[in-house]
Amino acid sequence: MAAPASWETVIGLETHVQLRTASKMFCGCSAAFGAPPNTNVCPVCLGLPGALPMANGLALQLAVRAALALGCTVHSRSVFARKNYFYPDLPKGYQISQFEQPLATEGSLSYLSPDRGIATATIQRLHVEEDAGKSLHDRFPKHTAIDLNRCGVPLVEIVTGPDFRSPQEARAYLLTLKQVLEYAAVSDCDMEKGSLRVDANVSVRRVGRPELGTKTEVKNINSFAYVEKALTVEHDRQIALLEGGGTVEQQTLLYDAKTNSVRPQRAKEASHDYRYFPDPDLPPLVLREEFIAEQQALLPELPAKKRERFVEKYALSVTDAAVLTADRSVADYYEAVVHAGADAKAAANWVMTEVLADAKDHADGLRVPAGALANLIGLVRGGTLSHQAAKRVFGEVADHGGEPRNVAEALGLIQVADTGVVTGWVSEVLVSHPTEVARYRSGETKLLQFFLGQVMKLSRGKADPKLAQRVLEEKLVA
Amino acid sequence: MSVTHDEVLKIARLAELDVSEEALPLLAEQMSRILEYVAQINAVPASEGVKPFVPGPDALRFRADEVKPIPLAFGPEALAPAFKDGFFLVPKLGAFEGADS
Repeated sequence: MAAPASWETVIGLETHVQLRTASKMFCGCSAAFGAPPNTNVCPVCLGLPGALPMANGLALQLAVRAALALGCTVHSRSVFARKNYFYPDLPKGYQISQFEQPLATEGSLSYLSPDRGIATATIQRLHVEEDAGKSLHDRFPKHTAIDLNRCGVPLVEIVTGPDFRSPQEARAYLLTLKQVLEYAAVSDCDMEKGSLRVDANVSVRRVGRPELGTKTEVKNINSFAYVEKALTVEHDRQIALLEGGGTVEQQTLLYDAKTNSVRPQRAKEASHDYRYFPDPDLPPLVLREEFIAEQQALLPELPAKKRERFVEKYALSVTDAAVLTADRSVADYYEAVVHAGADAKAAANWVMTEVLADAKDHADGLRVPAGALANLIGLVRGGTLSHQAAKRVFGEVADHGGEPRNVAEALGLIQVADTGVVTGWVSEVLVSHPTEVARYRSGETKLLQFFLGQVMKLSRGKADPKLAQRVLEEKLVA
Repeated sequence: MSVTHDEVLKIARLAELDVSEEALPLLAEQMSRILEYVAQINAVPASEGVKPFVPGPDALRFRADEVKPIPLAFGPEALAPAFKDGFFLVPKLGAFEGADS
């Protein structure tokens, strides 16, 4: 009997992204993260009788920008609907969302799949909604604690098709999505603060079968590291169930990072169970063509385009361009260094090594001004500073500021290109190492590097290495 | 259009309401009448130039993104039966039973 075909995973993602606004979606409460519990609440977001929603204009601008950045069609007319369900962190008993007529549909996002190379995820829809409050289950025994500060914070929900074939692909898509949304400046996408949250629909099927298996929804995935783990756990659970002769039940599961397992939350409700209907307090959202065009014009160059341009304009490798464009502020910084006069390739090397390493240690801060880095690179290129000395100057400028040349002079790191001085150092080194000189002269010419190292050591890095090498060669031949 | 007792029970479960067996016939009849009324309204030929009346503006108006909360007449603690350390308290939710034990 032939072995059964292996399993294929099918994953679709629903990503909730908090929009970067000062106030909530439908009221004037602060949307800031981290306030004491239940201090950013008012009659509107608490759902008190008679309170009416007023839509946040900036939230809608940002939502349109997000949709355009993902290549979606933004509809001139969309409708807010009430999604009815009962949960203690939803005081109104319904969430204001969009259902039949969402803000935007039919987008796509290309990403680098670890399995298939460049792949494209379909964005089925992007709609605007308000966030629910937060339930804390481990704060008090026998009780769940509810914080409603998050209630009403503006969100977009971005729904993909069932396009991903592995947990690794799902993660790669999410990282690309985060990058695009950060570039578009619509959200800070900080998973630790909950401003980007992911729910995943997961099913498995035999390879080659066209129909989809029964899906489950995995919630509570709150870090990029957990995306792969949670989806792998669920994929393995479904395969074990099916191979054991069981069936997969359609349900919502919560991922528990502590135990790396999933557990049922509630029987999955179908969309009709939410009893969606148009919110009678909110007229349709009607967007003029000019409004949409304005938002399009406000979008910056997005990462994929920027990568291509960096390769073409600065003659960088695709890998280097990808590193430099991963973060918009780093890409802008790199270009500022080049515009300040630095060689493009040298600037790329400095940014990818010293600058990013320093940023990592200092809360992503780019501490050396672009102009100063360009000057520093110029000093190395002109032979005024050795590369090693320049790294030291970079650290000093980052810590204490100052112009690289002044700092280098103050530290005594300016390279000495005076032939007389360098010849003095060379002579001293050769006198101190007669055995090595004899070996060199009997044919062991690779010792030249040893002598050069000794000269640099003696001069405390100040000797111009090219001049030192030339003098060494002359003296050793003599 | 008639609503079954099972459908009434399902709606009750979704609304977190406890409905007794005795109440089912009356609720089913009332819900059926509501749906019949909606069906009657749906039968109006809306495609023939009939525009639904919508109170208020035709399109959503935007407000500026400013933090201007409407003050509460009472603190949140006055709005809930159980409140501790700034949090509203509710009985432990089912899926998390034992999470802190």
